[in-house]
Amino acid sequence: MMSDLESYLKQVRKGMRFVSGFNKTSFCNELTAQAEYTGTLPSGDGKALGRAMRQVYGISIFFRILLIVTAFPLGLLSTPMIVAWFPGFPATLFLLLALLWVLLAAYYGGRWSGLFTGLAAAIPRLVALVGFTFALDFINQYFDSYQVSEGVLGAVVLTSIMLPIIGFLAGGRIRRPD
Amino acid sequence: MDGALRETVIVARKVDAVSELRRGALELALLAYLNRKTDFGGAMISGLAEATAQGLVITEGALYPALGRLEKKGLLKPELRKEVEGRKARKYYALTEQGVERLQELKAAWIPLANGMELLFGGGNDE
Repeated sequence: MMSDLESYLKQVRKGMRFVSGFNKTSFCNELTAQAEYTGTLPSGDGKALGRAMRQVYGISIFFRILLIVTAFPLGLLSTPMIVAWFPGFPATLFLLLALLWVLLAAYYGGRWSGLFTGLAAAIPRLVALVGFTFALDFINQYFDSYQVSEGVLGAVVLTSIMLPIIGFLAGGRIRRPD
Repeated sequence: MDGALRETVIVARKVDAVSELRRGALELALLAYLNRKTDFGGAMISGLAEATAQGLVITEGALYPALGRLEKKGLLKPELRKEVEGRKARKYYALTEQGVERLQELKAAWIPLANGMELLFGGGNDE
């Protein structure tokens, strides 16, 4: 039974991906104690149980910080004005990556992780927008009179506002376990 | 919609409705059970089934997330007890003061609801 239990716990751990090691070990010990008491394996899908427990415990602080910290450069690189310095830079691709990152944070970490990761992606975009506005004269000394249309500026502001909102709403859509 | 697919959707909705009902009752059932005695997860599954005359048969997939949520809300207090040498310590759950208060609240709401439903179903004689 021990090897069956081991493979069941492996599935549980897989379902609890990104949960802190302490909570994972503590929960697996609880399941082991149950198996020792009943002499049978816990019923049902181990991975589904792990995912349900992840919604209870939430992801670890380390992963929350990692999600937020990584969102900063993604947000910065998704600013379209970056082409003033690096022509042809795929800023839209980075915007898509930032959005996926925010959705990932919302999926694993819930609405608050989604919100803060969204904010972490949005803030450098808005800072870059303000910075760019002030630096435009300097940039145009070295580049061919770079211009940004009102449409692009509006799109930057709008997408920046949308990122935390999407993160918050997407995080709230995750169903509670049965 | 294709007949077989429609049948599948209906069955899925029925299962969903039943699990919604169970989920609502589970919190109260766990609080009521743990108000009688402190217990650990492994024993709670059979204990609950026995205490409710097989009316509430649950699996680990329902029990542990529910216990986790109640613990997170501060309604349960866990305690690790090493009872058998060479085996993992068991995590026993007991109600906190807040848990007892919550039980009283839920019980006060549940009893008239259950009585009302019983009358609605025809006093249990209506099959």
